[in-house]
Amino acid sequence: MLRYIGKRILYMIPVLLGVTLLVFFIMHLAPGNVAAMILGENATAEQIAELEHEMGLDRPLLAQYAAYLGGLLRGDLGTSYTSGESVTAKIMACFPYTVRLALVAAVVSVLLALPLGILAAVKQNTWVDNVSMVISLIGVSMPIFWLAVMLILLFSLKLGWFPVYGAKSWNSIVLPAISLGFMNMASIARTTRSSMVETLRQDYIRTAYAKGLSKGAIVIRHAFRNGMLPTITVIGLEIGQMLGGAVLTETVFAWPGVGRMMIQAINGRDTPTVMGCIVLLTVCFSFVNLIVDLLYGVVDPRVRTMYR
Amino acid sequence: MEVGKRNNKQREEELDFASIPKNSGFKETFFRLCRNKAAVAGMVFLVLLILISVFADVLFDYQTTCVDQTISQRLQWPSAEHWFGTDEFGRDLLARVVHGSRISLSIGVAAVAFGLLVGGILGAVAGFFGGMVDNVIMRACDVFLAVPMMLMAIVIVAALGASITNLVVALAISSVPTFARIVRSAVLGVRDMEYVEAARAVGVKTGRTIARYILPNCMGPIIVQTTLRIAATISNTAALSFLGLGVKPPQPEWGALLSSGREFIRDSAYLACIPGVCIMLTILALNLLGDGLRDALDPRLK
Amino acid sequence: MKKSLSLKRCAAFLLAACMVLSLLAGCGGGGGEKEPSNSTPSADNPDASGGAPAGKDSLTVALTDEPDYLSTCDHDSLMGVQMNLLTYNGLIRIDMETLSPVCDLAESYTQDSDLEWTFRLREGVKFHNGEELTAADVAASIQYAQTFAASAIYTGSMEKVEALDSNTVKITTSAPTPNLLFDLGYHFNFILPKSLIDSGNDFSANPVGTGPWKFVSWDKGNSIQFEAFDGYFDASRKAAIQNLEFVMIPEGSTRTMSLEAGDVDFVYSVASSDIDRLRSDESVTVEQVVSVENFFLFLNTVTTAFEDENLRKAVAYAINREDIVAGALNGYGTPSYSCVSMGYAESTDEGSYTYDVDKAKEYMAAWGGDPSTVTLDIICSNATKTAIATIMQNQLSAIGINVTINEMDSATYQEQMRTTDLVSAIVSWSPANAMTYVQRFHSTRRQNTPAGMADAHMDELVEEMNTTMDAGARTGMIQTIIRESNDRCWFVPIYQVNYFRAHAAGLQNVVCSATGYVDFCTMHW
Repeated sequence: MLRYIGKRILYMIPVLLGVTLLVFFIMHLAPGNVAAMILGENATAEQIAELEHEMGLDRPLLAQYAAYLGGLLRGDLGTSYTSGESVTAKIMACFPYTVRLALVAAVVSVLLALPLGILAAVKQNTWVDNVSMVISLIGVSMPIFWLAVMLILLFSLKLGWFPVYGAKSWNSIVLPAISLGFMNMASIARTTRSSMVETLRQDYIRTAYAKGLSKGAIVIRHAFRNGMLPTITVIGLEIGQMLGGAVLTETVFAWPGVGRMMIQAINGRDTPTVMGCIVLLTVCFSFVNLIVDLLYGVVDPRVRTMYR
Repeated sequence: MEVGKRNNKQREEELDFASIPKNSGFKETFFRLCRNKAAVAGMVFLVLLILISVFADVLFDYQTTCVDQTISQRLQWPSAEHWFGTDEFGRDLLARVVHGSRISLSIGVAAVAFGLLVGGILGAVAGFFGGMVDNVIMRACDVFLAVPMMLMAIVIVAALGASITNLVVALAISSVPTFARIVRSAVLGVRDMEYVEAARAVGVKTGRTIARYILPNCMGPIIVQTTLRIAATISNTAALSFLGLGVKPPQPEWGALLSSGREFIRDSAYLACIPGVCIMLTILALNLLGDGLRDALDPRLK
Repeated sequence: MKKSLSLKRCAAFLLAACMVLSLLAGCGGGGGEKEPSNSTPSADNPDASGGAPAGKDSLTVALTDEPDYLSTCDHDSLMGVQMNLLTYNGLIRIDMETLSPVCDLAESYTQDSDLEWTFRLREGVKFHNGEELTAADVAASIQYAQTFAASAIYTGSMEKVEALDSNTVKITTSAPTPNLLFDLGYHFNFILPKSLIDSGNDFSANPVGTGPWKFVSWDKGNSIQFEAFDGYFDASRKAAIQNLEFVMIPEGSTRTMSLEAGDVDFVYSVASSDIDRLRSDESVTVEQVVSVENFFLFLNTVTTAFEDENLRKAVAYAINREDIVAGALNGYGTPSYSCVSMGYAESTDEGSYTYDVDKAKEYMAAWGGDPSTVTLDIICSNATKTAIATIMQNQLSAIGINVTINEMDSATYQEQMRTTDLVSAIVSWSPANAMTYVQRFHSTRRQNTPAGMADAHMDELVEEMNTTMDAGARTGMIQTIIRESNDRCWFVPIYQVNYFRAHAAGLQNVVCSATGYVDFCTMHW
């Protein structure tokens, strides 16, 4: 098992190489001249060229990439083009907020989705099933800014329980986490339901009934664990997505996370910041996927052979 | 003796249980499907939706309802005259939703189908073979998961131009890693089952094993993910339009309708909610139909 | 065990109930009628705000974008300048109400010749770090600014800056520069302590100046904090509020809701869809400023059919600006019919356009070409521009011109503007005074927008105006330039932006300038 973990961590290196190379070239292919944008519309061509030279942007692309990699190996993510600060500092200011939001939202998601999915599966094709399907689909089809604004109107403006924006007090995380969690729970709820439905049809479940076990015991101890593989996958995917893509939530609630910062950096063609964010997110995704793969082994013994 | 000289292909033909003609044909599956009321409701809705989008021009004249603007009538709530109300330029929202259904659904379905095809194959291969193949495919998926869709879109526009096809490509690329991981996990759960072992023992080729034995048993999560990805794809279309990919004003499109309602969410919430509800109903119908199909094809339920 | 199932059922019901509740809450807020907000400011609801309570000695301002720098020379953004106005002063200050230059750090000045200006500094002015202001600081600051390529327009005219003694500065310009006072009021020329310039101080992390506010802290992405500077030299403009905090809230509706809940006291930029609601809220005051920033349709007059004046004029007369303001800005903008914004002392609307479709058709006939061969492709970099273009698309079809809308992100848009590949774009432009505005008509601007107009006669007019020292004569020349450009229709003006700022009703004496700044010194609770 430890060897497997070690191997996976080692495999992160080619992934990081691949990602940084891909994104580096994409940023350079993208139209837009960052030196011209910094200098503003009054700049002359000579001034732009001079700034590009200062920033090292006139070197051949591979040389620039090699320099970046060199910095990366030393732990230096470079300096932001648009604000002059160290990228590491910039990201470390935002990343803890993103992690907090993603984790709390994931908890909300799972707490909402699992019971909903299990209930729907147990009561398949009844009205309970259909209502739960509608509830979970609201999250996926309705725009998140609608839910966010509704939550703020009720809980912040009318009731005054939570702050409207930002991350200042301990309870600032509640509304953003509920919005994000609700929006992402559809996948988990529906997948749980579908796996449970298939598991509940297995012969060993019929045997358990015949043995006289109560419904609850069957659902929780027998059916649940066996149908978990796709559910765990989906939870992992959702966490990964929330880490990198909660931009709308962060924008509406003014939550100072990485998603928003990365979009601004892309708009500003601030390559070091974009690269830094993506390096960080890649490491996160890899870890999340690693944990998910390990959980497969924990939950389903048949899969453990993979780890030898 | 002849046995030893018989080649693999002949043996396979004799013993391939999958090629034994089934009792249930298309007709029987259809009848089983019809017994499921929810699936029928879904099917009816989808057929209606397809008919409405095909005959959109007959129902609402494109020029007068979707393009011509009457600024004085902007932002009116649903009424007898405008069943879905009017948008910020005074255009009838119902007409725009109807006309937009055509392009949104085609883009959504095409992008997800493409993503499912590519992602599904990758995931199945990764899950079935394991080892180095699994590693390479999964690490490649990690690379593509990390690159933000927005960045991909900017570059696709710059390199390939701004067309609907490229929009579908950009959307599909963002779906592939998700499908790969879902299918892989479903395959992992099934590949060590006895019937798979039996098929392999008997000599069924790998491709056939995957296609006929493993994948049909993974349909549950795949159906779920497919329908949800269609909704996500429609929502993402608007974000990509802002970057130049795809649908251009004044052409209506559900994702664009969703995002243009953001500014007016407090006083004219119907602008964003109505397209959202339409997306929800479509996904619901697809989901019900998908579940119904899966149940109809499941031999255990006969 | 049956209990656990019914527990799950209860959970599902509770969830559904919550959803219904919040739906109802939402419906109560927006059923098409504009009910006055029934929220109470934080005085009644102390638990509402998560941050510092808005007491009488502090002010929380919600901004849309975070400034990148707090230094003077690293940026040229509106928000950056707003921050600079808090912590720095220049020799000259542009008064927010009159938009005219006023002495700030300079007590007085004299113009000795066409090229020589002498400024006498005030005595006893202190920097935030305790040092006293001398002429050496002034010279060092301007020389420092000149090392930045982006400052050239505002510092390039000054050939020599000398400290004659500890509080006299002499500036020698390379050519007669009537705009010098405005230039000195620009943020690049704000005065920094020489000792910190020499020691390589990072003025963005440590903005030390002479300004009425002292920098306290910057929690990037979250908030910037300032406190009133006790030792400020100008008693009439000393900060009346002790603590000033800026927070970043990118979403318009969230800013409005924060103000309604009392979590912030001042919203710098109100989303136009919320203006009506805030106006009907008694606990909130909305300030409206007709600015000099205007939006216009830039046309490629070099490589497209729009090199023909008649075609341009056809477009100018065919668009209904009132409808554009109503449709894209929710009614909150001022239609603009003249090439240069109204609101400057020298503005004039002679020769300006109207909404007249028949006249537009006449111009189309005068052009004589086939409209189906012309596609007016408009590039847009945000949702507002797209909305404007969508409305224009509909209006121009009446004269047969086909409009296509090309959306792209900001960086791609800026790149396109530097080429001749585009047909047209929606552009906004906000210079501080008319003199700067009409520089736009000079061909030296072409190097950055090669698709823009270049006309020898206009060049002559602008150059003449640039070197005329007499203000009265200059005004006449500027008006000539405006008339001429209206006549030639180099671009099509659309509207002038109205700034809407909102704040708690208890805040008094809020001054907002037409150039987009807010005076935080004069306001008080």
